[in-house]
Amino acid sequence: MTSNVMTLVEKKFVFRNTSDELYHLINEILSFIKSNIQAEEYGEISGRCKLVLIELFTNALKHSDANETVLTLQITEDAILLNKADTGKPFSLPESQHSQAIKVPVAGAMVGEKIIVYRDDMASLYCKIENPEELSFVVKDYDVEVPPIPTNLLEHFGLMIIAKAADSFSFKYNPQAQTNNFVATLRY
Amino acid sequence: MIIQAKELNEFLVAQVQVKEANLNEAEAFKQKIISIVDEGHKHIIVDFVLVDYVDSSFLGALVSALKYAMSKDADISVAHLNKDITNLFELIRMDKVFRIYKNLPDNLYD
Repeated sequence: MTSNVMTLVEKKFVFRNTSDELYHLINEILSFIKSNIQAEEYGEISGRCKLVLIELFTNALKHSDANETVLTLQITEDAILLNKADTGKPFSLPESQHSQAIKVPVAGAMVGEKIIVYRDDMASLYCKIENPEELSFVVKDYDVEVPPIPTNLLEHFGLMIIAKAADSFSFKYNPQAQTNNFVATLRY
Repeated sequence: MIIQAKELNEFLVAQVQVKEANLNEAEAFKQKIISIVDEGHKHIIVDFVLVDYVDSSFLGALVSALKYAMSKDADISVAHLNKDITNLFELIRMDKVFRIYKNLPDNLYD
């Protein structure tokens, strides 16, 4: 988390990993943000926040085997931080044509490497191994002069959407607490 | 029922019937569009007028359905995207993949 910027507001929201309550919870979080920042700033950031929240919680529904997910919202002077934490399986990626399998904690020898998570005709999603317990995600877009051929396109957009909607997006595993944290930062 | 289908001139308009187009709905949606393609429809418009938000799973199903449609010489367009869904399409550049209609004739669902 950003340590050199003062947190003005912090609030935790519990998601019980059922899709029925997802939309209601997202609206509750957005209402809380709206009441704590300027209207103009909210107008600029709310759409991106909503996309990130939808995908963080959808990721929890799809990939976590935990019973609940805790979303910690921090509002600082210039950013919204969304930290999704659970105690389910740590982040992993299966072996693909682009990379070997990745499982957190990652072997020390791989620290510093940049791995392609997904790649299609329009973009690549990279995962940089910052340290054995921390990964950061970045998207590189390719020029699309003509409409891409759909057969070459991905069908897995979740991490890509968060990485593009947020200004930074990372995964951190806390071995002591055995918690998985996806952290998205959106500056306003 | 995930889709209400109506013919409009040369188009088949498939109106999504849920507000939350998410993980729970994605597979049924994909199968329904595939069955519409299999019925021989060549120009399908997926109408999002009733939809509040679309998640990555539903979007994946839409792209998967498009791939199937193209393999059968059919195409899929989308219509009535709200601001959030438009933002999503632009963010991951699905606006380069799908033709986006702002409106359909008013009397289509009378």
